[in-house]
Amino acid sequence: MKKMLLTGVLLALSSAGAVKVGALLPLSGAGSVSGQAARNGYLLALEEINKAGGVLGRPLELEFADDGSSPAKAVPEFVKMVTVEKVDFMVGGVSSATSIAISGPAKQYNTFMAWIGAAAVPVEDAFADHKYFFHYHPWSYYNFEAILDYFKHLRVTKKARNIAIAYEDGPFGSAGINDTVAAFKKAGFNVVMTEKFKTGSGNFGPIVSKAKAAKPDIFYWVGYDTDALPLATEIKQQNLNVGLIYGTPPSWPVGFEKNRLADNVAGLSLWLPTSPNSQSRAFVNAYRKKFGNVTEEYFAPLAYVNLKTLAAAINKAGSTDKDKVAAELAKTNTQTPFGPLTFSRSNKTRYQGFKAGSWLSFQYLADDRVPVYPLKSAKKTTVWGR
Amino acid sequence: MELFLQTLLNGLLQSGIYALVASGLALAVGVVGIVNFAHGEFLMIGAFLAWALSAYLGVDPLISLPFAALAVFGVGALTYRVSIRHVLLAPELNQMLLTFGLGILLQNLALIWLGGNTRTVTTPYQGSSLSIGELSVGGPKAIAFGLAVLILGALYGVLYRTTLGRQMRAVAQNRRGSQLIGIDVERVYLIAFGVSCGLAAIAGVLVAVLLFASPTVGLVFALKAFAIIVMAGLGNLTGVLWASVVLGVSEALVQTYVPGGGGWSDAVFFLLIFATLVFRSFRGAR
Amino acid sequence: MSRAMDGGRAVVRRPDVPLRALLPLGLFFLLALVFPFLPLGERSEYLLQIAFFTLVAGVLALSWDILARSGQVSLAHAAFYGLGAYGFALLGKVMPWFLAMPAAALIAGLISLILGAVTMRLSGMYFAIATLAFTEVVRTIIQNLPEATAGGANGLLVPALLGGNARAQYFLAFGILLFTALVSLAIRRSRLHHAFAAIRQGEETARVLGVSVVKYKLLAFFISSFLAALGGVLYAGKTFFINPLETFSLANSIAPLTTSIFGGLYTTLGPILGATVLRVAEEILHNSIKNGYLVVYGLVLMLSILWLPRGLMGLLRRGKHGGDV
Repeated sequence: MKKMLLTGVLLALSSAGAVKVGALLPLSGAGSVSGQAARNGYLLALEEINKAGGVLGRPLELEFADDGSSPAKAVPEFVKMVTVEKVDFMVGGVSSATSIAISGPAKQYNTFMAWIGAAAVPVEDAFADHKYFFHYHPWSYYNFEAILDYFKHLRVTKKARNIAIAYEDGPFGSAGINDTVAAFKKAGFNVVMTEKFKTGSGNFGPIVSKAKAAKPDIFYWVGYDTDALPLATEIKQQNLNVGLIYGTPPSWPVGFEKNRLADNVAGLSLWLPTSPNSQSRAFVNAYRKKFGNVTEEYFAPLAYVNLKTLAAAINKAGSTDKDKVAAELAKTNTQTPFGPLTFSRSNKTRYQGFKAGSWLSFQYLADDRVPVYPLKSAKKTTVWGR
Repeated sequence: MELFLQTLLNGLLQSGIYALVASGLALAVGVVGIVNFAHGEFLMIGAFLAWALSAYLGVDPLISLPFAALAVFGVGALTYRVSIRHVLLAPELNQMLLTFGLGILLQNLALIWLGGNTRTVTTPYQGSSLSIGELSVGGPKAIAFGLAVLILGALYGVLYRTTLGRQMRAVAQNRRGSQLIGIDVERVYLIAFGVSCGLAAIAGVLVAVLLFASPTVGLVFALKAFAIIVMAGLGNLTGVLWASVVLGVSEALVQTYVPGGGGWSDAVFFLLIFATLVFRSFRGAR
Repeated sequence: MSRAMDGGRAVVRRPDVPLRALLPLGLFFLLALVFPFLPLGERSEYLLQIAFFTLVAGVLALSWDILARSGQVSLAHAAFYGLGAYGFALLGKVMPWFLAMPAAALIAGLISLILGAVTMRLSGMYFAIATLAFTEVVRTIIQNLPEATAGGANGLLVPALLGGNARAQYFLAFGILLFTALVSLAIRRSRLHHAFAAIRQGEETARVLGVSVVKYKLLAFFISSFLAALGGVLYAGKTFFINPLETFSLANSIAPLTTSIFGGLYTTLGPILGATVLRVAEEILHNSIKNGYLVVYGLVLMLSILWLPRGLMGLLRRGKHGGDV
């Protein structure tokens, strides 16, 4: 221990500067909600890291870059971080398209990447052969595993058999939809409707009419926050008789919980600010102390965990040597607001962090989001609509 | 049969939103010839006003509607005075660049002040509907449809029955000539553009109730509104309503009766517009 | 619209481009050629990336302008840009890149002939919206094709252009912009220039003057779309990934339009200069204003058109009339 500390001090003295981390985030453009949330998470983590002595005996330096949610901007920004700012490690990454676009320079410069977002499968293909790619967010196919698990539980407890699926026709909604339908069928469910919609259009009348004829037990939709209210409205207006409305948008509209139309609507999240686990409570308290409010976006704690685990790995490695840090980061086994974090293989990449088990299902009940599944973290049991 | 009738109803109700958004644009682009690429952003201001008044003061959006319209009329009039006025004599493409810049400006101002989050308004009548047998008519969408008819009717009345309206049409046809016969061209343009923005705000308030408010809420609808007014024929106000209904109902039919039709609804929407324009051009009547 | 768009300039002014007017254009390309070798220190690689995307924006804007010269203000540029990108991604699987590239552009060019023929009799806003509608239809079709064919809504991974070598990619983009500029200059020096200008200022008159309106409008469409598709190839090969929503996005149709107006319409240098100045301005704003640089960017666009109704070229041309390249 003493020896390690000594090496750390020596290194800090001998190296020209502090350890520098670059964060590439969509601070503007379509992904800015997640990007800004992640930024706050990083700032909080940075403060805690440096209060606790920094990295390798020096305060950690963190540089932000805005990818503007566009590949054409992300590529120069990434190259700037690596060649001009000369960061030792890159973190961040939310959108899948921008992440794929930078896979070229990332391999060229052999950049160490501890990545939080970008859940689409093509990203996994693009980084399959990259030695230093750590992916925290579950790949999109893991989401589905979690959902299927919950629905199987509903089949036992609520006799749910028929599922109607509505998904937005863009890359988010369409990702793996065929596999989803096949897996539902294989698990013994009847998929009574599979329909596309255009996100943000508010045009749900025809879909709900169709669903009405199909008589589903579960109405499962994949879209964005913009679709939550119009869909709930249409279902109420056309009086669709359904056991559960289940949605998986990346985030939910602000103030949706106060709307009566949100009652009993269920969804999937990696994290809720009300999560009972002690790491999560500590995060929420620290966040409130620093920013004066509570965040609903799971990208905030995800970014927080991302930087903290990276800093810990660098400290354990005792240097910024990529191989040593990768070896240490791969050994990560720690409690986080999302539950335990370890890295293991995914379908194609070597270091995958959170997987299916990290997801939880919640329901809007009495103006709040309440976890209902998995049962070990549930606070209430599912309220069934009929 | 019920499904068919409900489909027609769904289409009709959706067309109300289209017509509502298009009505203001029809005045600016169609009647007085100001190509406003920032129309969706004026709609966005209206949506956020409705949201803010509802969230902070508890004012119902339908009550704040005239206020939002008036406020955005002011913003529009100001915009006209400081910018648009100066490009009216320049080539029409310059208006596009100007209003495009304005759109970027407004959208990003909203992004800085309010963040990119989607915000929703809560009203007691949001989920209300009228049931006729098995059919249901959504309350707020019916209001939007009614408003669209009302506004387009009123616009038509103003344009063809009042002095101001005649002046607007005169200015659009021949600016110099109008000036010569003593029309205050500046004032006419100012009012027309301001009203167009005010109408965008009205649409925005309804969109906030029906859907959501966010910095990018205007994009989807402004694009379709442009297509609708052109399909109707520039300057044709009653055509806006018909075009909206045709498009809305066609979309609904495709969504209901074609498997995976939701993915084709945009194609049908734009294909109809494309076909109408091309057909009309070859028939030679436009 | 076509009437108002041109502010009533004379059809023919000068049969030839004076050499002096070519000077700024030559300077630009010379600078662009030596750019990767400039001693920019540690910033060089980052600036090279910016420069690459600027060249692509230049290709898009200039190719759009060529079409606009024939009076066709199109919002279908995203369609041909996207068809180029998709064509390259799909053809690249069965043939080497240097064949896939022109093949993709040729396909886009041929498809544009269909669009051009059908929209032949439309003008102004009617033409603009018809081309916009065309783009949306093409996007929806590609989005709904089976995933195995073209990736569907999820998009496609694209093989890296030139093995991902940033410098080589830059020179390819340079070459394509140079090619586009040479095409544009050739048009300027040929009778196409007069034909386009005549059509722009009034098809009836052009017909009376004996200009074959149909032929020239289609030719403009083909050239413009062919070049736009090359821009799409560059983009796809650089970012490794395309999906219908982003590739066919309206923004890709609007950007060349605004860039050309900003730089100066119906010229060769204008759109190129517009693309360069806008991208550099955006980058400077981006680096100096951390939050909300786009607000200032929007303001810059507004002020520029208020002060420079003829775009940047209005600045260059001020005083000495004529010599528009």
